[in-house]
Amino acid sequence: MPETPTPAVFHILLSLADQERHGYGIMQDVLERTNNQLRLGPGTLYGTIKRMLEAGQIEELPEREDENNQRRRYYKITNAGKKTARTEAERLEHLVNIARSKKLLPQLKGVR
Amino acid sequence: MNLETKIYQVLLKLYPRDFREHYNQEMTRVFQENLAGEGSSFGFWVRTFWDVISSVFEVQVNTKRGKLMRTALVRFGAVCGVALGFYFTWIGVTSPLFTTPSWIEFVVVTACFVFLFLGYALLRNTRPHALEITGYAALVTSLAINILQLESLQKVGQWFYVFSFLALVFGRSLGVSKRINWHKIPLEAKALMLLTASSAVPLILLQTFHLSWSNVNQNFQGMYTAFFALIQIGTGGIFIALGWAIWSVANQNPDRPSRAQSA
Repeated sequence: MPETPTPAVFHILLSLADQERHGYGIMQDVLERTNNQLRLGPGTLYGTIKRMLEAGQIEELPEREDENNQRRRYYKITNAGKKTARTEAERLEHLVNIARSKKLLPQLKGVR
Repeated sequence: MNLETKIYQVLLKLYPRDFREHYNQEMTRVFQENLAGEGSSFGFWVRTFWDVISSVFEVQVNTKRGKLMRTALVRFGAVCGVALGFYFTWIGVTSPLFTTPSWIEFVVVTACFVFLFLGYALLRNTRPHALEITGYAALVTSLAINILQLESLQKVGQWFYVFSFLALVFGRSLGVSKRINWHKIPLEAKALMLLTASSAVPLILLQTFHLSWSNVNQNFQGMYTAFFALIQIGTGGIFIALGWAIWSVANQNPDRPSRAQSA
């Protein structure tokens, strides 16, 4: 059974799922998506990034300039990272479906 | 460079050198952007310190040297477990804690554990090694109690030792609980577990009988204290068996086929 990623790892994978981002961009995206609930400080962020690089879930790209013309190191999700994110999303979906079947959540429209 | 950045640069020295060399610039930039966004408030610094303290440990244990230390720590933990096991068994058999804890002691111990588990609860969402960090926190606390000779907290210190050992043994980053394939634990270790259990039973019975008989007139004080003795002996047995099992697994050569495979 694959290891469940921590919320920090899962959120970073979600941030990188649709585009390449630099560290601060990831942090802002996570903060926005979680309504300021999950604030990844620089230590947590880069510590997690390092682990994810070692696990082959993300890839580091050569430095390039961002929208403010500052040189940044960008990160990109790998196939292994996508697989981890997908597995976790499916796990969460399964839990949500259970919650729906137990009437803890409303049924989706058009789904019987 | 402003004062805030200088302070952060000092904090960054806590990280391993190779990590610093790679991420120093990026981390400082993110820090400065956060500072610009939030301002240098008290809350900002609390978050910053918390972020550094809680991530330094994880980064440190994941370096090459940290990994070597973890292996050494597993073995050290195993030895400590066996030693602690004998210690508890000895105490349980000879001179158990025959004093009923006072209400204040009970409250202090409970409060300490509440804080400990609160820390763990805060860490577990973002740290994969939350249990291990909590274990070290407990270990440091118990050592501090001993070093500072805080008599009134000695009992808390003892329980923190026990907790830290359990947390470190079962902590995920040490990976002991994962590395132990219980089916492959050597026969000797299983035998020792059985032996410990079988020898503990008569000891517990003797202790219970003796204590309850001698203290029967003291409002069942004997039964109560015998319960403590029982816990001590039981804890001792568990530690010995676990320590032995961990040591055996740590010494197993993964390249060598197991007995079952050879057969």
